[in-house]
Formats: sequence, C-alpha cells, structure tokens
Amino acid sequence: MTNFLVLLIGIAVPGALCWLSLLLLEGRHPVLTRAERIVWALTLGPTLFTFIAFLSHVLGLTRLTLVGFLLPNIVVALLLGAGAWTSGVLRSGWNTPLPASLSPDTAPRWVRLGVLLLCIWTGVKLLAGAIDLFGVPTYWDDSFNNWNMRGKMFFVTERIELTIPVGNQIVQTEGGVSSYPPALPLVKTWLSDLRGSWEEPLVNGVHLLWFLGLLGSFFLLLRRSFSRTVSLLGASLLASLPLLLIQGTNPYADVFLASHLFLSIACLLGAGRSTTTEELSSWLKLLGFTLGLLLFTKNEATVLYAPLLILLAFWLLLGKKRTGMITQQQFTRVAGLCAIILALLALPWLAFKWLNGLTFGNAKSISGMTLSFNPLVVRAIWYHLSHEPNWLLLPLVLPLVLILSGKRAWELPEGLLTVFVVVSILAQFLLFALLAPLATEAIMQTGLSRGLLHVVPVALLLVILLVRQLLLETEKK
Amino acid sequence: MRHLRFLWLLIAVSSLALPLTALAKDSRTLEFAAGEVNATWEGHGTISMQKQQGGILLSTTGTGFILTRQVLDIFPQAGSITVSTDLGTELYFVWIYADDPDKRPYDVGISVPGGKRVTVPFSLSQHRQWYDKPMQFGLVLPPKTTILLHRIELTQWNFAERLLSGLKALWTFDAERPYSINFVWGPQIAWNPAAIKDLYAYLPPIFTSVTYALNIFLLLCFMVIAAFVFLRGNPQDRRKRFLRLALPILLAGWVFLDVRMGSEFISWVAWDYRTYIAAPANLKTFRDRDRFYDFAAFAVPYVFDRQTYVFFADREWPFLGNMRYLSYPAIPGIAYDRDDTWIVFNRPDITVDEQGRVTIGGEAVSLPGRVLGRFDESSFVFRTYQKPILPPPPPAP
Repeated sequence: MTNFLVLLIGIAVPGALCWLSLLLLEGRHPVLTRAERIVWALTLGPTLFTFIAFLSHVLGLTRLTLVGFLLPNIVVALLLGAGAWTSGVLRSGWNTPLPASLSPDTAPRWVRLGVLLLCIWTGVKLLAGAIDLFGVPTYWDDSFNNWNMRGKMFFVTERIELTIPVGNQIVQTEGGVSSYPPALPLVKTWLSDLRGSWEEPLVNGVHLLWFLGLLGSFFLLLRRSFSRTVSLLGASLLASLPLLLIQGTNPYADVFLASHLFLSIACLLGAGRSTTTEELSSWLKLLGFTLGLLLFTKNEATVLYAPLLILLAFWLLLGKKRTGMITQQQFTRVAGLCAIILALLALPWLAFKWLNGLTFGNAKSISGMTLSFNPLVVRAIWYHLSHEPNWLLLPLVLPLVLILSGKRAWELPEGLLTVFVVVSILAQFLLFALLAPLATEAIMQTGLSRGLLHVVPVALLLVILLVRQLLLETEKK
Repeated sequence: MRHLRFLWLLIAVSSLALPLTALAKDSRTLEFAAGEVNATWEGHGTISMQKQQGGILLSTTGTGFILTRQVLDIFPQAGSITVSTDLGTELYFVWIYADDPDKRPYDVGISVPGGKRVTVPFSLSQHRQWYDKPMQFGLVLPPKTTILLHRIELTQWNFAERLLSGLKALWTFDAERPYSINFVWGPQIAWNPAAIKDLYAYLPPIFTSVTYALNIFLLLCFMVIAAFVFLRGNPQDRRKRFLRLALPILLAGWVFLDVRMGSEFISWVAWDYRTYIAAPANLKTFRDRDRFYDFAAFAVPYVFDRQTYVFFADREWPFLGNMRYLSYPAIPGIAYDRDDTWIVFNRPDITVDEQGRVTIGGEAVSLPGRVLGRFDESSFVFRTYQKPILPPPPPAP
C-alpha cells in the first residue's frame, strides 16, 4: 500500500509540472483538450522531472537525493507558475474546445455491445498484467542489467554512474548500457528516494504508467475524429497486440519510448491538420517539447526517429508555406520556436554524451560498423511478421490499406504518418540486414521486435485513419 | 419445415455416433519381452542385443541400429517406446522407404529420462519425411548407450480424433520464457496427442503456425472479395465496397487471435500467481529460475557490509547478473583468494569438508570457515574465519 501511495505521489508531482509546461507552451492558443493535457502530462512528466534533476546534477548543483530531485524542480515549477499566472494561460487552458464533441456516437447497439465486451476483455488483460508487474521479481535481462540496475546504482551512490560492475571482476565502461539516456533509471531513483528504499513493486510498477499513457493518448487522438465507440475499439485493438501488452506490463523501456514517440507524432499530425498559424505554432512548440524529451528516452530516438520527425516537420511547413497558409516570416518564427525548445531539452543530454564518449547506437556504436548483407535477417523478419502473432494481423492489414489508399495515403496530413511508418520500418530492416553486428538483433528477434514496437501504435493509427478515409470518400475517376 | 426437422434429427443422431467412431484409435504394438516378440529384428552397427525376461537389452559402443521389416497395415501419426535405463539418453525412431534409391534413414529424436519402464511418446506426422508406410523402421542408439527395450507402439487416429487434437493444440499455450519479451510463437496446429506434448519443444516450432494459416486464409478471402467487387458494380465506390466486405472478416480474425493470445497471457499470470505470488514461502518457484529469488532474499543480507563476495550458481546466465542487481552494492565474483564470503546456489558439487573448507569437486578451494546459513542441500552462504590475503601482484614485465 505504501508503494502504491508513493507511486501515485511520484507520478502526480512530475505530472503537475509537465501540465504547467504544456499549458505555457500552448500559450493563448491551446490545442489540447483537458483530458489530453492530463494524459500527456502524466506520460511526459517523469521524463521532464528527471531531465531537470539530471541537468542540475551534471552542473554540480545537486546530488541524486530526494532534495536533489525536488529542489531544481520546485524552482522550475515556481518560474513556470509565475509565467502562467502573469500571462493568463491558466484561464485559457481551462477553456479548450473539445473537438470530440463533433463526433457523436451513431453506432448500432450491437456494435456498441461488442466494443464494450472488447473493452472488458482489455481491462481483464491489463489487470492481469498489473498483478504480474507488481507481484513478481525483476526477471528480464535488460531490466536487471540496465534499467533497474542503473536506477539502483544512482540511488545508492546518489550520482550518475557510467561505470558498471558486471560481476566476476568485469567492469563495463562507457561503451555499454551507460550510453542509454538515464531518464528511466532516474525515474526509479526518484521513486526510491521518495520511498526511502529500493522496492521492486515500486520501481517495476511505474512502467504501467507509460502503457496506460499510450493507450489513453491513442484513444484521445482517435476521439478527435471518431465517436467514442470507434475510439474505444481503436484503443482495444492497440492493447490487443500481444508484444505491446507483454512489453507494456513488464519493466522494459520500449513502451516508455513508444509513448513519447506517439505524442511527437500526435503533435506533427495536429500541426498538419491546423488551420490557423496560431494553432500551427502551438502544435510545433509541443512538437519541440515532446521531441526533446523523446531524445532522453532511448538511443533509437536520437539516431532514427528525431531526424525523421524533424524532416517531416520541415516538409509540413514547406507545404503550408506553398499553400499560402503561412508567410516566410511566420515559417521562420514557428520553426525557430520549435528548434529552440528542442535544443533546450536535447543539447544538455547530447553534450553530456559527447563529453563522456558515450556511443550513439543501440548499446552498440553505429560508427565503424562494416557493411555486409545477411539473408538470414530477411528470413527472420518474414517469420516474425507472418508466422508469429506478435502484432496480430497488423503486418497484413498495413500494406493492404496502403495499397488500397494509393496516392492519398501519401498526401498531407495523413501522409506524415505514412512516410514516418514506412521509412522507419524500412530503415530498421535495412540497418539489420546491412550492418553485420546488428544482424543478430534481427535473427534473435530482439532489436527487431523492439524497433517495430516503437512504430506499431503509429501504424495502427494510420490504418484506422486511412480506412476511415476510404469509407467516407467516393473514388474519383 | 418437416424436411428441415428431419435434417436436424439426422445431424443430432450422427453427432451422437461420432464419439463411437472417434474411439476407434488403431495401434500396433511391437513387444520385446521373452515369449512375446512379434517381429523379426536385426542389429546394425556396434550394437549388442541380449534377450531378457522383460525385454531386449541393447548396448552400444558406437552408433547402433535395431531395425525390422515388419509390414505396417496402418499409417501411424505417432508412437511411443517403453524402456528402462539408468541414465537419461537421446534415442531416435528411424525409418527407411522402399522407393528411396539411397535408402536414407530418416529419424525423430526421443528424449528418454532415466528410470524403470518409462514410456515416452513421440510424434511422426509433423515430419516432412514421414509420408508413407516405411519398408524398415526401428531405433538408433547413440554410442555408449545401454537400455532395456520393452515395447514400441505405433498409433493411428481417425479423422474426428485428429480434428479434436487440432482444436486442443490450438488452445495449448506456450509458457512464459526468456524469449517471450521479444516474440511469441503463437498457436500451432498438431494433429495427434503426442505432438501436442511437443508443441513448443522445438525452437522454432516445427508445426503449422495458425497465424501463418490465418494470414493465408485472409489473403485468399481478400482476393475473392476483390475479384467480386472489382469486376462488378459501380467502379466509383469499389474500394469502399471491398472494405465493407473485408473488414468484418478481418476483425473476426483479429479478435480470434486476440482471444487466443490474451488467454495465453492470462495463463502466464495465473501460473506466476499460483507458483510464486500466492505460493507458501518455502514452495515459491519462479518460471525457469526455480527458487532463485527466495534464495537471493535469504542470502543478500549476509553481504550487506561487503563490497564483493564469491558467487557460484549452476549456470552463469542469468544468475550472475540477477544476483549482482539484487545484492548491489555488493558485487558477486570469483575472487576466492580475496573474498571471505561465499554464496553458493544450486551446486551439489560444492560442499564444506571436515576441516571447514569449501570444496569444488572434492578439491579444497577456501580457507577454513563456517556455513552462515543453509537454504537447501546445495545452496548456502559460507564465510572464512580469516580474510584471505591477496597474493602479491606479478612482477612488472
């Protein structure tokens, strides 16, 4: 019970800070609904909170103690609060319009009943996963070698440690798991500092937050375009993906990354759908914010997702400029604001990595890898997608819907999702097939499945949006 | 209406008759007990065969074959062997086809545990090379193997039974294993009870993946719908019509796989709950780690004031990393010339001798000390009376 209370406080405090940050970023032109802002704040909050504590720590101002976590965050919260009070955004934030009200529920009774049953089934699975997450010891390799281990080290030593004793007199230096961003271990350190001891149910149980955050933000994004029934069906379909459910209810970091990535995508889509410059500006500021925090989750964000998302943002802005929605001056202003927010959050971690000689790959440095095609990778990918129900029928549906949609799948704003999904999946497949040291990650289905896991929520969203487009529109000759 | 009633009655009567035919399992038993041998057997390779009361004693120095040319009047899908052996061993059921010019022997591995009159089932139907009644069949014994062979039984099931086995296989779950965080095999189809036992024993599974079959089935459905929709009706809305027909089938397939995989997920949690979360303290086991976590909780307090300690387990992965995490900041290692505390998990070969020294395989490797706490027969915490003195470093080159 104490662990549960500590967990609630431990996510509510960062959540409140992040809520304030989101409100300030949106400024006088809020774009998030109240529910969205709460779900986003709870999902991103711990990352923002630990980023501030990390920054204060590496600048030599604080240690990784309870005071070390709270003090810099209180200072930031006071500054943000003062900003919010004087600018009056607190009032405008509460008056956010609800786009969901545009989509009334017209589904027949039997469809609603079917979706209700699916939701109950999803709830049963989530409850089962939560029982396991809180009740069993740390079992998986990456949990006890990386995420939990580093969190415990930071908790015991009260500082960021880059040298990890492996055991048997072997010591792992900066090249290994220390190259991963410390956000997730720091969340565990923060919770343990708050609790006063390292507790397995507490440091493992927190992972449920990001899975629920992902499901919640997925539902709310769908709610912008669909009725409650369809949105619930979509969220149930997402929760039904077996590997996502397994990873979401175990202390691994990939759903943590996926939840952040999905919010960056939601910002990009929001920017794509925006009809005014003010709205566009709000979404792009949020994009800079979510993208900056995304870099602090896992290395894949730095080497693959962030560059791709930045390119897509530019493509979007150029499109808006071409259609006359924004002028060159406005282009520079909104892009500049996005870049500044991103740089504020991204540069400290990237500079820390560079200064300490940490690698930029997925625990393996991608520089200096030799090129050689491995046909076994192709076989492993085929087997993973066609013979195993890791993603249920999504690997069949995604290409089918893309083919059916044709050129329209690539048009803005849904085209942003199409390009992101196709490029990030193909890029990962190519990296696995061509870079010899990474081939094992595909053949053993380790890196392969996790890479796909980051992208599948976006892929499912794309499928749902394209199916809707196909059902609503009449084909042109 | 009367015709319809008659049809229903016919179906009901037929369904009552179905279990009677389903019981018609057909087996052929090859006995080896004295006086009961019902086939002619010949040995090949370095094998000795000796008739005994309960069976035939087979002993090899190199690889040995025992084969028969007995004509099978059934085409079995599976079999079983009954043997007695002191040590567990790997045997192979082997067969040769008459129409094969090379007379290649094809085989299926059978893992036999040690014990008296152990019956081990094995499946044949999933093997691509098992497609016809063989000309010759029998067993292969690896070098230096001794077994007392009692019986070989080969079984053929009828269609209804195979169908029931298929349904049972569909709902047979894999356990939660170290690979489950990266992928799941999903449902597999096997057509006989012996095969169901081995459904997830092979990596990757050798049976038909239901996911693959469902993908193919749906693809064929979509092709039929596409042909139907794209050739007929208004071309303006053909994609919409395609989706309206395809989506319900797709959703049905999706929900079916979801229910199957969700049930597997819940079965994992139920297993963890029974064997670990709600199990009594001295009976807690966890997946493939046995009693490790309880042992770690028992042992870690003994090293709370140590920086390093000696740790031995029956295998390095995953216990070294897991122990290091649980005992941090105390780090496990193999420096028994420096550390005074030993944590030993599941190592029957590591004991403490009469002089109070830790021995590995009978050889003393520590200074005298005492067992601080014993978890079970082969797991304990030991500490030397004196701290070992680090030997001087080797001279610089």
